[in-house]
Amino acid sequence: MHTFWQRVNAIFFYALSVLGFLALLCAGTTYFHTAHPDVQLGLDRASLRKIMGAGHEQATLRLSIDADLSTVFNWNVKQLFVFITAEYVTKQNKLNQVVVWDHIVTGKEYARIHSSSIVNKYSLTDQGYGLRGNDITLVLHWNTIPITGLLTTTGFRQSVHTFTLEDQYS
Amino acid sequence: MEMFTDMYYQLKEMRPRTLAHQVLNLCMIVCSALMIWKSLMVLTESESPVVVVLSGSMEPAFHRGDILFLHMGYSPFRAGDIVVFKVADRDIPIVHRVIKVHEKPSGVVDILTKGDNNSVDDRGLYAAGQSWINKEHIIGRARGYLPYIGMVTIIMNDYPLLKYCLVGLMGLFVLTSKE
Repeated sequence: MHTFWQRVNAIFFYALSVLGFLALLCAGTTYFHTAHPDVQLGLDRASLRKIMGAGHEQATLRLSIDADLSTVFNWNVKQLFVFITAEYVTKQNKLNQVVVWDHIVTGKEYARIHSSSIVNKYSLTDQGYGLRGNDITLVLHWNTIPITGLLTTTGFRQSVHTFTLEDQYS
Repeated sequence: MEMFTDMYYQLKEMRPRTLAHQVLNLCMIVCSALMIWKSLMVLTESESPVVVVLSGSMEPAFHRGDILFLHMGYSPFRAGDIVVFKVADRDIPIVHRVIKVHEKPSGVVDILTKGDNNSVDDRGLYAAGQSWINKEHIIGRARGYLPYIGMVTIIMNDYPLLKYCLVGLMGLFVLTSKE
């Protein structure tokens, strides 16, 4: 009944189920962790120009970020993918959401982001001519990559920065 | 080797009725695996509920050999979502992050994606002349993550012989197992 291979098999699957249970426990207990993030977004300058390409209007932003996300980290967080979106409504679209900046935080010690005069990393381009004179909201989000478990994204809407783009091209 | 000769004699000496029972047992296992997979497809609304990461384009979040659990869901697509999508002329689905969303009043949504580890967006990966992907290109959204386990699949795909040996061995074990 109990040959060598049966024993190997039993040990292997027992180890696998223990590992699975521990992983589940590790991921499940994060439910009791609460984060107290602190975010301040600002805009130093914004300019608008007309382009010919996938869109027709492109804005260049100069941003400032002061965020402390160290409390978002817990025992099951591998990294945070932090990004800022510019959100606006146009006649053409009921929602436009464009990532203008992103940053990977790989540890609690790097979770305090304090930068000013960041130029947008990805172009803020509208599909049509919807940027001129429009209200833009900047929102900071983070996508939590666990060591194992659920992937979640949080948009920090308690502290956003809203501004109006100028009505002319520069 | 002794193990295999044992198995061989065991199979040889089996009465036809017992053999038929064991073969049915094997069929049951194959069928239930298929049923679980198909039910997962229904539950997750995704044609491929579990995918293995094959490239390093999402590093350091996902490495080659990590497993992602997908779920489609009804909530609208938003920037930051990690989606798995297929474009024309490419067989292998791509796992990348949504960086631009333009949602029309009709509900049609134009999406642009990018790999975290890539320096440019995915327009170069899309079909010629395609600037955006839409809901119909998307297989699912990554919701769960399990590291390393997918390496088994990658190794088995790289060495098909190993795959056949393992499957054959498991079949033999089931056929010769005693209740």
